[in-house]
Amino acid sequence: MGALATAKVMKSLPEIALSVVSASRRYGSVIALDGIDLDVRKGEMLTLLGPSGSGKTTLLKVIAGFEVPDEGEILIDTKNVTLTPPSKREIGMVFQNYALFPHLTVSQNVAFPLQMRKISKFDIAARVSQILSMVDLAGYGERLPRQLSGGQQQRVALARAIVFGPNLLLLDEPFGALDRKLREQMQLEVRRLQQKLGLTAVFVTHDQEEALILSDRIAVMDAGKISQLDTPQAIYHRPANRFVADFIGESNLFRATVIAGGYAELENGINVKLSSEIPSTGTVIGLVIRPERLRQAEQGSIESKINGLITEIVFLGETIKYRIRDELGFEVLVRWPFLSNEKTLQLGEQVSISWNHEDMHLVKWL
Amino acid sequence: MDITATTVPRVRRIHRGLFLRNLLYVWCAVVFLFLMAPLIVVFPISLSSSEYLQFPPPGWSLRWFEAYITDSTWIDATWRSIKIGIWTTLLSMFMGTALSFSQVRGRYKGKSIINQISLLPLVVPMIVYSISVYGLFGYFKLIGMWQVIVLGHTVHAIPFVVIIVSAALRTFDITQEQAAMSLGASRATALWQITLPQIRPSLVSAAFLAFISSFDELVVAMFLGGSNMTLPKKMFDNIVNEIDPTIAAVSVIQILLVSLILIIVSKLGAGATPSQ
Amino acid sequence: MTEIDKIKLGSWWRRNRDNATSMFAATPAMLFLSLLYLLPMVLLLSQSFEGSSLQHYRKALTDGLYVQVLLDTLMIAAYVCIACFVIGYPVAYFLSIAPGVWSTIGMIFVLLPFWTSILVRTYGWMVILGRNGIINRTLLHTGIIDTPLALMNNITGVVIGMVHVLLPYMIFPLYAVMRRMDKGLAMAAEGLGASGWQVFTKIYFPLTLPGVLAGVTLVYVLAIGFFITPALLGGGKVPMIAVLIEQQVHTFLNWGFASALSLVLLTATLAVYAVLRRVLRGNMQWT
Repeated sequence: MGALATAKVMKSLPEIALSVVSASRRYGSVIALDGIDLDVRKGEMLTLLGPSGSGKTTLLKVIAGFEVPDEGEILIDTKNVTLTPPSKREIGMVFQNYALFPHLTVSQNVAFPLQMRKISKFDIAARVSQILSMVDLAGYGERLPRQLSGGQQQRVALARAIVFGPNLLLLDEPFGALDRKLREQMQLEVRRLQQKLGLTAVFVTHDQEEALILSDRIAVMDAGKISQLDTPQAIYHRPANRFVADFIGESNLFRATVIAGGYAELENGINVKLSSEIPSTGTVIGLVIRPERLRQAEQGSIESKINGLITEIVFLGETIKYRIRDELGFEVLVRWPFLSNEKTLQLGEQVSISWNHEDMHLVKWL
Repeated sequence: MDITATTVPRVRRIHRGLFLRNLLYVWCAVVFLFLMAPLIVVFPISLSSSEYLQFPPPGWSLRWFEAYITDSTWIDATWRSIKIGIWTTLLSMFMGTALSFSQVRGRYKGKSIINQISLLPLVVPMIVYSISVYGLFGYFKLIGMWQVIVLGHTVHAIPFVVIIVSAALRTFDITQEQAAMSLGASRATALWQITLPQIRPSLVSAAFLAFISSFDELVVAMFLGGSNMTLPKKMFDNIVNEIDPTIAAVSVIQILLVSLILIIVSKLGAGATPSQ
Repeated sequence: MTEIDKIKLGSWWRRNRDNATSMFAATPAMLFLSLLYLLPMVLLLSQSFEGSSLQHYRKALTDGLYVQVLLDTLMIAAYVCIACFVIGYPVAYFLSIAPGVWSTIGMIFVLLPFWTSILVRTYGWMVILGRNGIINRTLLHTGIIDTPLALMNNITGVVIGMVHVLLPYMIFPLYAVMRRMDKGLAMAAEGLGASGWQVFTKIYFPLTLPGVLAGVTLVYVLAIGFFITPALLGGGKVPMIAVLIEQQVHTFLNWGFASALSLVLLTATLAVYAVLRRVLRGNMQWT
């Protein structure tokens, strides 16, 4: 019992808005959450990122109270809410399909949580109109949800979730149904609102680009565990393992064996210098390097690591991706800004690639 | 390829298509006429001045409507049927809706057995059931009391309610209830303010179905009613004994009543949720 | 209780509270149905073995008269079922493809009789089919026939009446399935070279099978147990088993025998239901 009490004391630091302590949840033989520990700081936007089945939605449901963990605790603002029903946790939740009440107007939808808290009609009206202005929906109060566009419905859902000043804002893949431009717009709006109001938010998504844009910190989840919890930059440039490296952005992942002298040998025979934390000789490691970190080198120069032919070109507007393959079948992906048609390489062209060894990141291969 | 080689068979196919389509229309028209025929026929008979079943009627008169309204046995039977119908509706809606929620939302052992039992009254023939309760209530000397007819009718109304309400619940978006709860509503409040208003059309249909199934029911009423007759029983006796065309007047009133209720129900149902 | 136990209990309760409430919600209905449905049926079963003997069953199942009634019932139900299918299939198809207004109007033609009391409908048929009824009077008047047709108090009348009542029960399941049919499939088949007939037999009809079997099951099972229509339109000359049972109770006061007959009817009903459901499941491996 002592360990739990200690944990509780530690979690009662005022900067921590939400604490998940060793939460586990099983469905029959499927382990959805495997001893999750997570602290969310006040005012931060933390994203739970992962593929389907990673447990991110389950974790959100556990935080919200729609699921009760088999083991572990949930503390919101230092209060143990593990057994508290969702209606009493003072959380605001935005659902994937918005879950607006179709038989109530926009105003009535937004007023609903205030009615549940027995706030006076006068105050309700004031707060509703204030929040609708904040989400740019002033004047839309009398409309019904079905009369609104997807983006507008989303904003109503958001307004409804924050109008009563919750401790925590939970968002369950809310932008999935929007088209790309609208999605980008809404992402920024939600972020702006969250920062302006100083709301603590937990956001669930499988879209890693979205996570990188929105978050203060990202928790990458895989099979019920958190693989890495860090800032977007750290996750992008220094992924903790192969899974994260693969999941976030595109990257090159090279298998290499550690050799003497602080070097590792790639599969094509080239040796690369390793920076900090060199494992023992003979260890098989993974080297991660992002496609935009590679550069074109002089043909035949010492620093070139790969000499190959261009096998694939993908034009992406601002950037171009090239896939390069050498005679041994060793492949690398590069991504460079598009400068002009003349400077663009052609299929089958010979090119040499090199990179700085500091831009390489080491992960376990297994 | 020669164009005519493909257009000629195509034209023939179009003609055949048209022919079949017209055939379908005619078929349906005939069937619709067949379906409406007995309903239409009772109207002129009810207005006939003759005591016998004569067609075409020799003259027109409202005497059979008068006969119905002034005859206390007819009116008593009607009120009894209405009373029984209302009680049946109340009981079956209450138990059936609760059961529907239990079936759609709950996860517990024995759920499917309970489902089978609740639908059993649909499969078993009315006559078999009537005999069985006749024995039971006869033993307790309860034959002739309208309350036992309510019980018998409720048993058969419950499956209808369960089928309709469960279907509505299953298509209802449960995240709305979850949203309501996350916003501070208790489960009961969420059900009352969010869920029930939205399944109202189905609740209304189920209530209507429950009422009609009781109001029109003959066999159970025949066995359990004794000398206190429900409307269908009186109608049945009247037909068998070929007394007079009052039965036609009653039929017309019933048809008009049903049409009226159908209209009301569809308006009530349509107004509930804005269709998306 | 230690704190861990308290937490475990609280956690179990929170997780199972919803399911416990669900079970509780089912109780009123279950109690009601057990007392007022299952119990009487069990009593009926015991009644039929009056004096713990099988005499009633022996009579019901071996006496030629009663066996004939049972077979007649099954046969008449089959006529009705086939008629409903042949008549109803095109109508359901029409309702599923007709544009909004027409489909609503069509539905009204099906729903209004459906909601009207069986007694009213059967009476209407008596007016139409009787010796002095509309059909006979018209045909006699126009000289098409010399003597009135016997359209009532025989199997013909009963079948017509039953088809009228049971047709909606065939149409609705068919309509439900047809409505959900992917219209693109017929087009795809035609594009691949199928003739109209082939599209129907190989694509459309097989996909409506769930509805067909639902409708056929429903109509047949209901038809076997029919009382009102055979009683009124049969005039005592068309003994279907339900009519017979009523007779045994109210006229002959032969309680035990009536119970046995009821159980024979029930068994037949359940058997038909089970067999048709098995066929239904067997045929639909692609769903």
